[in-house]
Amino acid sequence: MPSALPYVLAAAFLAPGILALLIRDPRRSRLVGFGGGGAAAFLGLVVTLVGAMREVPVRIPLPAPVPWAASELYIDGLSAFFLALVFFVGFLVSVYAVGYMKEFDEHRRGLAAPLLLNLLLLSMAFVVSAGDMLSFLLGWEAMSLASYFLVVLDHEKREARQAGLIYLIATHIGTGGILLAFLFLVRTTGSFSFNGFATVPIADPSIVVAAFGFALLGFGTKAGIFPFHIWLPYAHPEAPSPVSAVMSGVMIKMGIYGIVRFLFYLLPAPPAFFGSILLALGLISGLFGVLYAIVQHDLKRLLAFSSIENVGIVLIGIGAASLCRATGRPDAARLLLAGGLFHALSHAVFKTLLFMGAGAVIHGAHTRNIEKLGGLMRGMPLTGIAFLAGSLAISAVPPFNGFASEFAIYRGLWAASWSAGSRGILLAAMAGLALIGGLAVVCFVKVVGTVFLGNARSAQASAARDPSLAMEFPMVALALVCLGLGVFPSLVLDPLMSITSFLSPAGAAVPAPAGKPFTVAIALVIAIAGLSLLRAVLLRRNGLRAGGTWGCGFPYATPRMQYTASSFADPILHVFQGILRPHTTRKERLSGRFLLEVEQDTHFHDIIENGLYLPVYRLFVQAAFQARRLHPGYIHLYLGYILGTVVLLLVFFH
Amino acid sequence: MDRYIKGIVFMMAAAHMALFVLLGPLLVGVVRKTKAFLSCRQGAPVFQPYLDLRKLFRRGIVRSTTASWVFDLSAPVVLGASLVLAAATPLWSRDVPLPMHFILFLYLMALPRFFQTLAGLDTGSAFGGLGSSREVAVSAMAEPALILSFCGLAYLGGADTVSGMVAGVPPGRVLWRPEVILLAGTLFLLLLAENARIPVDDPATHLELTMIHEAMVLDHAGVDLAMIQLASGVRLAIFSALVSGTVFPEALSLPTFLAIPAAVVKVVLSGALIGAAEAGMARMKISRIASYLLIATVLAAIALAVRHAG
Repeated sequence: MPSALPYVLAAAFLAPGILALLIRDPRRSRLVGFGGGGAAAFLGLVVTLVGAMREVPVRIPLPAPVPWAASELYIDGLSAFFLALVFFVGFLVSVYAVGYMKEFDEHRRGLAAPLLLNLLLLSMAFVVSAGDMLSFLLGWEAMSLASYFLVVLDHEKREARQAGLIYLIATHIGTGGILLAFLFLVRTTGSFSFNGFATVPIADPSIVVAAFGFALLGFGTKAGIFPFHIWLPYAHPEAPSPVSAVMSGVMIKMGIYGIVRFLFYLLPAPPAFFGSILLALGLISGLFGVLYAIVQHDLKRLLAFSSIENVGIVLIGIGAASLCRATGRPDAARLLLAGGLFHALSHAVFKTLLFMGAGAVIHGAHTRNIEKLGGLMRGMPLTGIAFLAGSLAISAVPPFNGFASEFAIYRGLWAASWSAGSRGILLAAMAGLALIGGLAVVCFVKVVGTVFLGNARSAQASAARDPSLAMEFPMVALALVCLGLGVFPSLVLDPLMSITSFLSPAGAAVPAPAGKPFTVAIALVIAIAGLSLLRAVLLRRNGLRAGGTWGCGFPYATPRMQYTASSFADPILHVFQGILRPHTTRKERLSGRFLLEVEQDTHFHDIIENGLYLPVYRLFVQAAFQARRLHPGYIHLYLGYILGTVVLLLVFFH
Repeated sequence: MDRYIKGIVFMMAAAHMALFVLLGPLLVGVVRKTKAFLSCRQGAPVFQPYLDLRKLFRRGIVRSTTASWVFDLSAPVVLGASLVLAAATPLWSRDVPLPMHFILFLYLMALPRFFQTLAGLDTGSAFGGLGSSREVAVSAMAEPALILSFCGLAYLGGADTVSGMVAGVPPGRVLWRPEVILLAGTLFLLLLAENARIPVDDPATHLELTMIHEAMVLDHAGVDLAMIQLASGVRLAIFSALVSGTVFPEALSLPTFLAIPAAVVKVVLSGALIGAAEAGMARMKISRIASYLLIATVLAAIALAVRHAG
C-alpha cells in the first residue's frame, strides 16, 4: 500500500493545479487550485505524522529514470521531519494564497500560480524523501524552476524579471555544486544511492574535503548562507507574498536539509574543521543578516535579510554539532543538531507568519515601504497581533518558539564548553548568538513600532483594513503555534532528540534546564494579568482622560514628526558603519542664498555583492563582448567554422 | 507535615517577592541620597521614592489618543516580567521561588524591553522613538558581555541556574581571585548600562534630547508610570543582588534570620556604591556607549580566559 502513496500525493497536488488552468472564473480557479493543493498538503501532513510514528525508515522503490541506477524514496526520521515541515507550511500557505492571489485576478496573471505552487511543494517533498542522487537532483531542479517561475509571476515589472534572473543564475550555480559533490561520492563509492554512499568508506581525505566544499557551495546558495546569499534579498521581495513565505519558510530549509544529510549521514566521520567552518559562516551570516535587516525600509526585503540571519543561527547549531561530534562530545552534538533543526522549524513557522503579515499589509496599504506605514494596529488588529507574536518569536523572546530553539542551541554550546578543546569558539558562538538576538530585538521593535503603532504616515496606511478570513486564519494559526511551541518545546525537541540519537546511542541526553517554559509562562501570565487587573481597577477609581501626545508644549504635532524607521536604526548604523557602508546622496535646491528643498537618500549596498560578485560579473560581460566577435552573423563564416572543426578533428583523432 | 512545609515554602516565596518590591525603591533612594551627599547637597529623604510611588498610584492618567492596546499592556508587562525575573534572583538564600537557567533569565529580560520600547513608539511622539531606539541599541550591544559574564559565573558556581551559580561561587578571599573581581566588575558596568545610570544614561537630566530611558516613558503617567518606576527599582535590585552575591557569596548560606538583614545591607551598600560611581563620573556621549560596552565584553572575556588558563 505505501508504494502507491507517492503517486496518490503527486496526483493530489498536480490535478488541482492543472484543473485550475482550465477554469475560466479566476475566483473558482484560485479556490480549486490552491484549495486542492492545501488539501493535498494536509493529507501529506497526516500521512507523514502517522507514518513517522509507526515506523521509519520507509523504502519505496521508484521506476528507474536511467537503466544503470535504481531509484527509490528513502524516508528516515530526518526526511520525515522536513516532510512534515513542507506539508504544514504548504497547507497554511495554500489557504492564504486563496485570498491573497486575488491581486492577480486581473488579466488572469495568476493563472499558472496554483500549478506552480503545488509543483513547488511536491518537489520539495520529493527532495527530502529522495533516496538516491538522481531522484534528488530531479526534485531539486523541479523545485528551482517552479520557484523561479513563481518569482517572475509579476513579469511586467522590471524588478521581478531582474530578481528572477539573479535567482535563476544563483540556483543553477548551486545545482552545479551539488552535482559535483555527488559525483565525487559516486566516483569513489561506485553507488548512486545515499545508503551506498554511507556504507562505503572513503579512504582519501581530499575527496571528502572536495565533496564537502562543493556541497557547501550548492546547498549554501539555496539556504542563503553568507557569502552565497545575494539572490535572497532580490527574489523574496519580488515574489508574491505566499511565494515569499514558502521560499523563506521552507525552500531555503532544503539547503539546510542538504547540509545535514551530507555532513551527518553521507560523509563518513567529517573532520572537526568542517564544523568550525560552518559555525563561523553561521555567525557571519547571522550578524550580517540582522545588521542589513535593521537598515532596510522595504518590509519584505527586511524579512529576507532576517532569513539570512536565522539560517545563520541554524548553521551555528549544525556546525557546532559537527564540531562536537568530531571532538568526542556526542551528547552535546546531539542536542546541538536537534537545536539547529528545531530552529529551522521555528524559523519556518514565524517567518511564514511574518511574510503573510507583510502580504496582508501590502494588500491593505499597497506599499512595502515602512516609512509610509504606521498605526496599522487600528485598522488591522488581527494582523497586528499575529505580526507582533511573530516578531516576539523571531526576536527570541520567551515564551515563544524562537527562544525555545535558540535555547536548545545555547544549552548544547554550554554543555560542550565544559570539556576542554575549542572552548574559545564555543564561547564566541554564545556571545555572537547573544549579539544577534539583541540586534533582532532592535530590528523587530523597529518594524512593529513603525508599521503597526503610532500614527499613519500616509493616507493609504490609514485606510488599510484586515484582509479576508482565508488570509487571517493561517496567520492566527501560526501565531498560536509560535506560542504553543514556546510553551511546550518538548513537542518538537523530543522527536528531534530521537532523530539525532544516532550521534550518541548510549549517552544520556543533556539534562532538562531549570525553569520549565510552561512554569515561566504561567508565572508571566499570572503576573501580567494581575497587574492589568490592578491597573484597570485603579484607573476606574482615579480616572482616565484621553489627550494628545505630549509635543513639548506645541499643539500641532503631525504624523511626519514621528520617529522614522531610519532614525530608529541610526544608533546601530552609527556603531556598525564600517560593515554597513551607508551611501548617502544629497540634493539641495537653492533660491539665491535660501535653501528651499533638501533631498537626501541613503542606500546600503551589499559589500559582498559589490566587492565580490559585481567584479566577476563585469569580467564575464567583457569576455562575452570579446566572444561576440566570433559570431558576426555571416553564414559562410559559420560554415567555415564547421569545416575547420571537422578538419581539426580529422587531424587529431584520425 | 507536608502541608506545613508547603506553607513555609509559600511564605518564603512571598517574603522573597515582597522584599524585592520593597528594596527596589529603597535602592533608588539610597543611590540618590549618596549622590546628593557626595555633591554636597541635602537631597531628598531616602524614602522619597516610596512617597512618589504612592502619589502616582493615586493619580489618574492622560492617555494619548494615538496609543493602542500595546501601550496599555506595556506597564503591566514591564513590571510583571521584572517580578518573574526577581523570583529567579537569589537575595538571601540559594532557594528561590522560581529557579531559572541563566540563558532563559537573560532572554526574559528582552520581554519587558520589547514592550517598553514599543510603548515608546506607540504614542507617535518623537521623544518616545528616540528613547526606544537608544534603549534597544544599548541593550543589544550589552548582550555579549552579559552572556559571557553569566557564563563565567556559571563556571565559577558550577551550576546553570542563576540562583545556583551565584550561591555556588566558592566563598572567601575574593580579592585574591582575579576572575571573581573581573566578573563582578563587568557585572557592575552592565548594571550601570542596563539600568539607565550614569555614564550611559542620566535619570536626572532635564533635557529630553539627551535621555534614553526617561524619554521613552515621557507619555506614561499615573499608575503606568508608577509600575514602570517600580519595575526599574526591582531591576536595579536584581542587578545589585547579583553583583553583591558574587562578591559576598557567604551571606547566601547564613541562617535565614541573619541572611535577610545581610541581604538588605548588601543591597543598600551596592546602592551607595552606585551613587558614588555616578557622582564621580560625567555622562558619556551616546556614540561612546559602544566602546563602554565593548570594554565590558573584553573584561568578561578576560575573566573567562583567566578561569580556563588557571
